[in-house]
Amino acid sequence: MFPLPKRGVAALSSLLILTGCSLPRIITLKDPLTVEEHLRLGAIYESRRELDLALKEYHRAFRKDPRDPRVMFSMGNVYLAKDQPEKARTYYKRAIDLNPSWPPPYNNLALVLIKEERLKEAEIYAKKALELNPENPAPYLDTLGVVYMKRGEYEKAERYFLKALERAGKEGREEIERHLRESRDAQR
Amino acid sequence: MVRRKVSRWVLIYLTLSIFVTSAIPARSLAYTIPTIAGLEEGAYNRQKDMAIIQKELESKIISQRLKDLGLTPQEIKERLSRLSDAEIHAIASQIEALKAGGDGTGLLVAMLLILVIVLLILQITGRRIVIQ
Repeated sequence: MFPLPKRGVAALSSLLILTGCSLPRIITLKDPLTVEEHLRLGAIYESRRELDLALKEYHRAFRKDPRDPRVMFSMGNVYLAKDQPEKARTYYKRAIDLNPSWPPPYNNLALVLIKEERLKEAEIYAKKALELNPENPAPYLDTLGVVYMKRGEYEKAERYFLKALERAGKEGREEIERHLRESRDAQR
Repeated sequence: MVRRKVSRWVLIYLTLSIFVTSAIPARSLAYTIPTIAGLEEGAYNRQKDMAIIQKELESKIISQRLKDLGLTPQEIKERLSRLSDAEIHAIASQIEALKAGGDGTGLLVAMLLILVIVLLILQITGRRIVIQ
């Protein structure tokens, strides 16, 4: 084989390196957002029904803190919106395991169970949410109302909807009123 | 005659469908506690606030990626200022694609270069590689 002159090889390689043969760089990609910021951005996407984008943000938040119950709750909400109750249920349960004294995952888990017609369990979870946050009971009273309406206990359901309306703020009011109408219509 | 018969059937069909759909109770589900409300009650409800926060966070993501790719703060500022809100949103949602040589070519070139350099070093130091 034709032997390469040593000096020539050294010179050629130096020349290549020095004259614009741009070497590939290794880039370290940094995530500039905190867990809170990922959750907030995800929640904004979610409220605009950009569910896959929301899920991506929640996954990024998960990479930063896999033990944050808010991440699990948020993922559960996306799967509930995507009509994948099994996955939603799993994430809500994980959120509850991570923080058993935080009521929102109990309520939304109750909603999944209502969807699956598992009304007894739904009642237990909704009651637990109510017990944990008696200061802001409207959503939980409404959930309980829906459980009773589904069971055909219309009078009890109406009582819960009326209680929920008494305590509800602006948000959710319309929904509770709709449930109350539904319950009254079904009773007739 | 035929026309009258058809209209009668259409009328029967419509009456029946109205009756059936009204008899089925509406699908009812209690209201989900939205993620935003679950995270911070009462916060970020207004659409305007959400748009501002969204833009702010998405700009932060893009800025960091451009910084990682080696752009100066001035260049980043210039590029961002030229983008509309919709463009910022589009880029931020496709941020994984915003890479220098992100299709794997860069890695291949790097590996080939390392191989060439190793061979050159062996050549210079007088060693030989024999493949039998």
